[in-house]
Amino acid sequence: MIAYNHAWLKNLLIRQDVDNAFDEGYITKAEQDTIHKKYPVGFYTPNIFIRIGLFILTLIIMLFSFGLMVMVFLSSVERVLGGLSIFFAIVAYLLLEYMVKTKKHYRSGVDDALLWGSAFALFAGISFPNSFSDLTNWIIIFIITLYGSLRFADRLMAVAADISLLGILFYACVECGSTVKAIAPFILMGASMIIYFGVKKLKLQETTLHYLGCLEMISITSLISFYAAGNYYVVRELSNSMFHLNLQPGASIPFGWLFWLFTIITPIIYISRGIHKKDAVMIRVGLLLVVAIVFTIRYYHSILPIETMMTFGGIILLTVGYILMKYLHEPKYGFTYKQISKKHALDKLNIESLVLAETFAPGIEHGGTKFGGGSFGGGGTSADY
Amino acid sequence: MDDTLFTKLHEEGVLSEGSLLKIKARVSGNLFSLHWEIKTLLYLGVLLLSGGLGILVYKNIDSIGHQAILLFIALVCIGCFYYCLKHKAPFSTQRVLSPNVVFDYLLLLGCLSFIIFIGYLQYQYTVFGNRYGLATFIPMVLLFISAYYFDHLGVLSMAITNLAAWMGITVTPLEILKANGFNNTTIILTGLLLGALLISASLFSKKRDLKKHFEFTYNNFGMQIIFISCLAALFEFESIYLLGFLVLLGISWYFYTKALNDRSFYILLVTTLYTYIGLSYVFIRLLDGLGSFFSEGVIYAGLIYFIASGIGMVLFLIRTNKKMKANDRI
Repeated sequence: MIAYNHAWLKNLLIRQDVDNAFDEGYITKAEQDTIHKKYPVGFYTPNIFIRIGLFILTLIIMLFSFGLMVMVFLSSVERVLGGLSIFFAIVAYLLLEYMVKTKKHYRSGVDDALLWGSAFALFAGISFPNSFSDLTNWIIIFIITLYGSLRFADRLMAVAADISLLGILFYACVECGSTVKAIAPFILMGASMIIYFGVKKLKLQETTLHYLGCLEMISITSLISFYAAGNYYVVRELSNSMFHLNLQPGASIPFGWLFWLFTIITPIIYISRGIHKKDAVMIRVGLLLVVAIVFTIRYYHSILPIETMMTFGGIILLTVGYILMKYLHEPKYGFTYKQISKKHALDKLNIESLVLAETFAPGIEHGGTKFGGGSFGGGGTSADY
Repeated sequence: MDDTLFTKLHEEGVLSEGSLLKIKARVSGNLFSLHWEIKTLLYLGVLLLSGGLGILVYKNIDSIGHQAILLFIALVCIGCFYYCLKHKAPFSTQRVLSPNVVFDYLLLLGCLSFIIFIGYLQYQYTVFGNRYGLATFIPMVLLFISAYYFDHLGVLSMAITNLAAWMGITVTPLEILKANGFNNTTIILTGLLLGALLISASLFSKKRDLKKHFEFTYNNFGMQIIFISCLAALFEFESIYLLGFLVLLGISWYFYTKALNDRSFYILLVTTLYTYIGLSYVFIRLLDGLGSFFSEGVIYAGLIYFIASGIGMVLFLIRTNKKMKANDRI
């Protein structure tokens, strides 16, 4: 199913683990080199900056090619625009297959741009000439993105497929009538939970080896969607605007207390479970959602003036951070404050220079393979498996 | 991390016994680093606390009074610098590692509060009168000194930003700015000058081995500023745009060779994109000169230009990437 060379993908995974072990200082440079030689990777994967450049340039080429096509059919453009879009999508897709199969591009920026460009053009070509319902549109998006993620193992495509699946469920609930509409949040929460645990099972299978990145992104997305579906703000405002409840300011929704409970308890469960299971993703998502708790509460109840909240919040965060830093100075219960990666530990500079170094510094990343990980925007949280 | 892969590698004979044992110890120890989580907590805490305190002071300015606030800011500033002076490692022309995390934050806080202090003095009491240049010059000097003395890249970035502000204000007196009489020409020329200055500073730090690791920051600021000013000049001085284009090409050539020498993909990307913008502008100007702007032929030519040049740029990037990687192995 996957378009890229399977053996190389497998070798790439081995190389990533080995590179990590090298960065953490467990194996020698000579060993790393031998293993790299033994497991060759023939993909064309340029450095991340080159990838960005190639992505932008490919998008420019695609846009102006489309413009050229539109110019040719300018006199009857409104009738043929849909067909033109679909034709464009097919050409872009064929080019994508060519680049991947023959030119061995793998996350080079060119394949990313062609994949997303052709997916977008295909959807636009099918959807814009017709006035489909929301449900139909989401189904079209789901089919396109599901194919994209299965064929090219693109992480963002996988996220889009996950979100569109939830979109289908939501609009299906809306079309089912008032009873189902009322329990839509629970259906979405249940679906997110099923996706999360399903993905967890899938990750252990041998067949999904090349989709590990996609699955990781999906599990992050479903953790967040589970929270969003039960969040008081989301439920109240969405049902108010979509189902015309005409709530007055201050009026609550039916079972409001239940959603308040979900709003506050879910992140706490994530964090405690994350700490218990040593699951970095859960801890980070949980910490992020604590911010969501604060915003949700503040939106409906102004307990304290904002500046007092900020000051006290800052003091609490600083105290907690400082205590944790001191407490975990020596590892306790398998947790440590120290950085494990040797590559970073060498560079004991402040945050700014680290950020600068990681984003800009030349020479830190040699060898294109290391940057195979991380689809656009996906690198941040998923870096820990 | 899982040790099955490494056991397999060991059986294949590419991993030594010692390395495997180390990895096995690491896996069974299963140490989990909360480094970034804790750092983020601290960073957010500083942001929230300073923001909250700032608003608190702002809202209560009537009851506190300006002198008290100024005194407070001054005390914070002095306290921070006192700590930094006491804990700093001895000065060296090489990179000096900071003694601890707190040091970095306090140095930043000290520098920030100094800028606020000067700004507050000027805003409330107009101490410097109409010599606005002086009000930006003094913090700039202090920032540069701190950046070198304490070896801090963040402070260096602040100092460079301040330098830009100082140059901008010096060439364009505030009255003119207020009267909306923007003198684009001077601003663009100043930008070119500033860019050239920063690039020379980067060359200087590298050649003279004075804080070599500052070179990248200088070069990065200089590169962005000089490219943007050069493009602005291209758009602004319409009558001599071909000359502007030649200057742009010269700058691009400099950074292209630098990218190859330093093997910096970042510099290569930035250079390529800015040059491409300039090139496309000149091409469209030339097309525009050929016929009326909306004639069909011109639009076709423009579209085909973008497709062809885009493909050309893609090939250029791919080939240069290959070249730089080939050098990598030497």
